[in-house]
Amino acid sequence: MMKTSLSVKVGKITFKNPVLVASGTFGYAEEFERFFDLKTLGGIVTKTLTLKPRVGNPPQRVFETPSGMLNAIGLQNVGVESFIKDKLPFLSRIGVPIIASVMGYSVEEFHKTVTALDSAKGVDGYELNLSCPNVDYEKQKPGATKRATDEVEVDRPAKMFAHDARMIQEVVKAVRKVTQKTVIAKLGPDVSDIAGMAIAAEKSGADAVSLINTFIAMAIDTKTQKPVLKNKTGGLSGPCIKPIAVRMVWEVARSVRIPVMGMGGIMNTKDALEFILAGATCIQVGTANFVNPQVCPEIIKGLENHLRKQKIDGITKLIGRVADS
Amino acid sequence: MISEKTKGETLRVLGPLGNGFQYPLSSRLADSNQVPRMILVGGGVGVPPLYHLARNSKKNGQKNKNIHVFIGARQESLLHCEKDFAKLGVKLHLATDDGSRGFKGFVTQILDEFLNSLRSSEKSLKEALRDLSVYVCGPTPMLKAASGIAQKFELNCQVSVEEPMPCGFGACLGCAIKIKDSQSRQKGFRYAMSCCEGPVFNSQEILWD
Repeated sequence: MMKTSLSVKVGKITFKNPVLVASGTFGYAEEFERFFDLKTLGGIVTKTLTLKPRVGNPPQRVFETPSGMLNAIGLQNVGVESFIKDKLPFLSRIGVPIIASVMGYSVEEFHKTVTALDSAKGVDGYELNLSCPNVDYEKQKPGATKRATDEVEVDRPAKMFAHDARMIQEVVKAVRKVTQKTVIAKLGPDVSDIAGMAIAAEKSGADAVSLINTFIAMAIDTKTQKPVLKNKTGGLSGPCIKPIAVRMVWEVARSVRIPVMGMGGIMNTKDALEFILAGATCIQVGTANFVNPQVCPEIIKGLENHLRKQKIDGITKLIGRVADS
Repeated sequence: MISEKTKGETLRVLGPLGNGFQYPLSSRLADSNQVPRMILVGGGVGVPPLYHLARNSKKNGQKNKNIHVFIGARQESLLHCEKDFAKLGVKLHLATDDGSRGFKGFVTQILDEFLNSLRSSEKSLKEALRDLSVYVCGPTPMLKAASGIAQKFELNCQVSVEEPMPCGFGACLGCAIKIKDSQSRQKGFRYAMSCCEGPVFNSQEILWD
């Protein structure tokens, strides 16, 4: 049988295969131990960590939508200190690269969170969750958005880091100063120029970008006449966002030189290949883990089989291949 | 979705997940003729799990007279498992919103009436009531109402909650339910994961909205 390699490299990390699990969809990995040998994974991105523990949002936190779901979990997590003590030991024993997803409400908090993790053993890299409400910006006056005035406000304050190229630069630069490890900037899709955001991250020293995070979306209960989610809005994920995600990965991959991690509705091997052909060096599987907890090992096998059938000796040969057509 | 499957198709099933009702296997008290050991309260599609609770309890030695089942539905055709309970021989109390069968109104109303009729200053009855557990499964407003009634009569009560569950095994944190927690740093509560710590909870633990 022909020898095929699924191995890819991002920053300082070599992944034995390009299939990672997306932040927030795999807990701290222990919950999936009973479904498959975790060692088969290419890598694990942890639930987003914050400096202090977070209780998360009140229910209702989730809602199924056609070909997808909404979530407003609220970044419930044990906090950096407890993560290092209680969760990291198990994660580091698995034997696959561990990427800590981190979030801060300010540039300084990002800085502090990464500093705290950098001294711990077992973290191979960071994914910067830039899609959190930005409290550094001056709060918009209430009623300002109610009616259009004669003058159009062109530069309205962004709601999160991911919506502002300058804020992305500030966060990435601040984190870059603190660590030598692989830094991945996770981009949110609620922007008109995703490539511009990726370029900002690349210029600031990110080793890679990962996209897309969820879209801010909403569902309304027509009986109660209230939003379904207690938080009113939530993140949309699942197969329904895949076509937009593929387009964005394609746009970003031709605009930056750093590797791109693609995600957004990947449910099977075919979906994974779409993202790789579009330009993704790695893919991340998220929502699909809830539908089929064994989806990741299935995709890994599927990619192996695909390479063998097509007589391609390495997955790297397929990255961005669509550009040649 | 399941009803549309045809013979020969494969279904992927994950389970068992979470916990179940805890039912008593024995009691130090003699059986009372007035007070049952178990009161099962079900609404709509929450009824089938209660059928299995009754069946398993009987398998483990519980007597028919000790099990009372209260079922409610919008109309007669939606009263699930009535025949199955009848076959078991447990005591059935029925309620329908439209009065097409049994009491016209909510199942919790007939539950309240029944418990009122048991109330007595008699010591033996008071003791027997302490040995009685209520098991509730159905829509959330019903769980809340039944819990309130159980609390009023100072009865042990277990509820099987209904929260949306994307994963079902503790990874996504979607099925959060607010429960009392004196240890927590927050205002005496925390969010439990219904899929793992439940779906059956002691009703007293839950901080209903």
